[in-house]
Amino acid sequence: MFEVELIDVTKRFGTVTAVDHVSLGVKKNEFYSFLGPSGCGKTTTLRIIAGFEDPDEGTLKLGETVANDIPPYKRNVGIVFQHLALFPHMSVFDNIAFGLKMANVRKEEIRKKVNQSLELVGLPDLGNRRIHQLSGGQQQRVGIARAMVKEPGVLLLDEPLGPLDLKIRQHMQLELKRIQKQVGTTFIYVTHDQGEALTMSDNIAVMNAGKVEQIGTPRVIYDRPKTQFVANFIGETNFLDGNLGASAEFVCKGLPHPIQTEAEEWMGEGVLSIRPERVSIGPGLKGLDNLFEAKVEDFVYQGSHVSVSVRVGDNLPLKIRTNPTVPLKIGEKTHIGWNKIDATVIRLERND
Amino acid sequence: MAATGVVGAAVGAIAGNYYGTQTARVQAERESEVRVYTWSEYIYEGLIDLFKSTTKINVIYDTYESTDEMRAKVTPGHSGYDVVMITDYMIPEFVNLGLLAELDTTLLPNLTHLDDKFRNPDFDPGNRHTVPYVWGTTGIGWNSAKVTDPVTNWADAFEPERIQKHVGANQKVVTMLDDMRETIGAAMKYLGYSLNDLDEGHLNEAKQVLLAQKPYLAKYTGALEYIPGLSGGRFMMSHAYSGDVFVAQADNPDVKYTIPEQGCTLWVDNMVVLKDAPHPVAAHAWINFIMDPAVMATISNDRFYANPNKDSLPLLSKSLLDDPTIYPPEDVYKKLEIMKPVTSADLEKYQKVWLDVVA
Repeated sequence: MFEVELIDVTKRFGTVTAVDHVSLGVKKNEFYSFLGPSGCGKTTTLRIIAGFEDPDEGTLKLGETVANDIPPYKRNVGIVFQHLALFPHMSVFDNIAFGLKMANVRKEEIRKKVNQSLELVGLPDLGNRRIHQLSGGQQQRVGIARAMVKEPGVLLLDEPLGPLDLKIRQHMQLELKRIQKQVGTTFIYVTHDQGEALTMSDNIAVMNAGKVEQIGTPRVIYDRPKTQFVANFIGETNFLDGNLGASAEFVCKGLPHPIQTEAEEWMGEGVLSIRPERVSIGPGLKGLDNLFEAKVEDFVYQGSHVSVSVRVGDNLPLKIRTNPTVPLKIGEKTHIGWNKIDATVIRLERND
Repeated sequence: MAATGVVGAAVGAIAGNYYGTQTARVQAERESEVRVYTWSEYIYEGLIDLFKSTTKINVIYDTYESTDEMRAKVTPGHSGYDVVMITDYMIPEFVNLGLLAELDTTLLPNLTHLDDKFRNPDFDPGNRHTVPYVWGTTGIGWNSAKVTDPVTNWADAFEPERIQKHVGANQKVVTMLDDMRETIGAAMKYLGYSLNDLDEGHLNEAKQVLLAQKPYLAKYTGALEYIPGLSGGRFMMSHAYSGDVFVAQADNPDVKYTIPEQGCTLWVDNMVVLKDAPHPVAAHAWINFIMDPAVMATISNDRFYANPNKDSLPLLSKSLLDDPTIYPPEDVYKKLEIMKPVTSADLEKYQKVWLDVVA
C-alpha cells in the first residue's frame, strides 16, 4: 500500500492540461521527488495532494482513504513553502510554536512538541535565539521544524532550498535527507534541480508538460533514461539515432560498424544515449565492447575533468568527459569507446 | 495523529458560535478556501503561504489598483470574495448598500491586540463590520535632490511664490491627488480649517486656493503615475499616500515624505467580510491571522505602514518606529483627521467646488 497514491489524475486550467493522467505511488518513509522544468505540473500535483486543487479526473489516495473530497485541514499533511515567512525578531521557539498557538494547544503540550521538533532538526539549544541571528541553513531547519511540529504523516516541500546560496544548498540537501531518515516521515519534494533530486531522493518522478516521463531511483533515472527528455534533462548526454536489431546491435548510419548494446526486449527505431563521462578516449584504447576512431575537434580544461568534442565516423559529433591526464591534441586522430553497460537505447515513440 | 489535525479541531470548535452548532460544523467542513480582495503591494507574500501551511485553508488573493475598480467589482454583489479591504470613509456607503456582514467577534480572539484609539470609529460604531488593517496619512512626497528647500508645509505646494521657490524654473512638476475629498481636504487643512468642515464660505476659500495652484500643476493623478513620477524625477512634489511614497523611496532614496505642519488626512484601511461571502468562517480565520501581532509586525516592517495593533509594537523595526512620518509623535498626531462620510446633500457641496477646479 502506498502512503500517497495518484491514480490517473488529471487537472485542467481552462485549455491547459497541467496534470495529464498522472499515476504514481509514494511509499511510507520514502524521500520522493517530483522533478521537472517550470510548468511541468509538479507543483500542481503537490497542491492536489495538499488539497488546494481538486483533480478533474482520477483518484488521490492517502493511505487506504480516497482523499479527493477531504478538505486540506483534515489531511495529515504538512507543507513547507519556499517563502518561509519566519518572524525575524521572534525567537526560534515562538516561530515553531506559531501554528500550535493559533490552534489553542496547551502550553505544556506546545513546549513538549517544539522541543521535540528542535531536537529532530538538530537545533536543540537554539530555542531562544532570534531568527535574524541564524544562518540561512539554520532558518531552513526552523522552517522544517515548524512544519514537523504537528507530526504530519507526509511532508510536502515546494522547492524550499530555492533562495539559498549554492554551498549552503548542497549542505542543506544532505541535512534534509538526514532529517527525513531520522524522523521517518514521508517527504514529497518538488524541484527543478536535477542534482538536488539525485542527491536526496529514494525515488524520482520526472515530469514534463503534465505527464510523468519516468519513475525510478536516481541511479535508474540517470543510467537508464526511458525517454530522450529524461536523458537530456538529467545531466548531459550524447544522442545517436539508429536502429536496434537482433542480437543487441544498434546500427547507426554514419558509423563504420554497429554498436553493441545491452539486450532489450524490443527492436526498431531508437536513440542511443551515452553520457560524456562514460566514453573513454585515448590512443591505443582497447578492451572495450565498442571502439571507434575519432578526431579531436576541441577540448576545454574544467579542473576535475576535460570536456572534449570529437567527430566519429561520418563526422558525427560526440561530447566526452575525461581525465585531465589523457593526452589530447586538436586535429589529431585518436580512439574512443565504451562498454555495453555504459549506454542506453531509448525506444522512439511511434506516432500511429 | 488524528485525521482532524490540530487546526481542524479548532475551526470546528470556533465555528460552533457562528451559525449554531450542527450547521457550523458542516459549513466549516466545506470552507477550505478564502478569497481576499485588497490593494496591491499590501502584504508580505510569505504570509499568505504561512496562513496556508498553518491553517490548510487555501488563499485566492486578488488585488486592485483603485477604489473605483474595487467599487465596480464589489457593489453589484456576488463578487465571490470573502474579505475585502475598504478605506474608512467608504464603509458607511457599503453598510447602507447591505454589502457587509456583521462580524462574529467570537471568531476573532486576536481583537484583544487592537489599540483603543482604533476601536469604535465614527465610520463604524462598535466595529460591527470592520477590523482595521494598517493606517497612514496623505501628505506630500517630494524629491530632495531636486527641490531647493525641504517641503514642510502645505503652503509649499499651494502658494505660487513658495512653489516657484521650491521648483525653480521647472514647470508642471507638482501633482495633486485625483480625489475630490483628499484634494479639497488638503486645501482646507492649509487654510487651518477641519478636513470635514462643510461651511460653504470656507469651501469657497479652498476653491480659490486650488485655482491659484492650477497653473503650476502638472495634473491630478494617482499612485500608478506619481510613484514612478517621484522616483524617476518627473514630479518634484506630489500629494500622495504615505506608503506609496516609501515605495518610491525604496527605488530612489532622494524621495521623502512629509506630513505638512498643518496636518493632513489620517486614513485607515479595513478588512470586512462580505454579506454574501462564500466562506465566512475562513474569512474570519484570515482576519484573525492578520491580527496576530507577529503577522501584523511583518506587514508593517515590510510595507512601511503603521498599524493599529498595540501588541505588535515590540516587534516593529526601529526605523519604522523612529520615523515620525510613519508613527507621528503626539503633537503631530493631534493635527491628523479621519475623513468623515457625508450625506449626498453635503457631497454636492464638494462636487460644486471640484467641478469648478478641474474644469
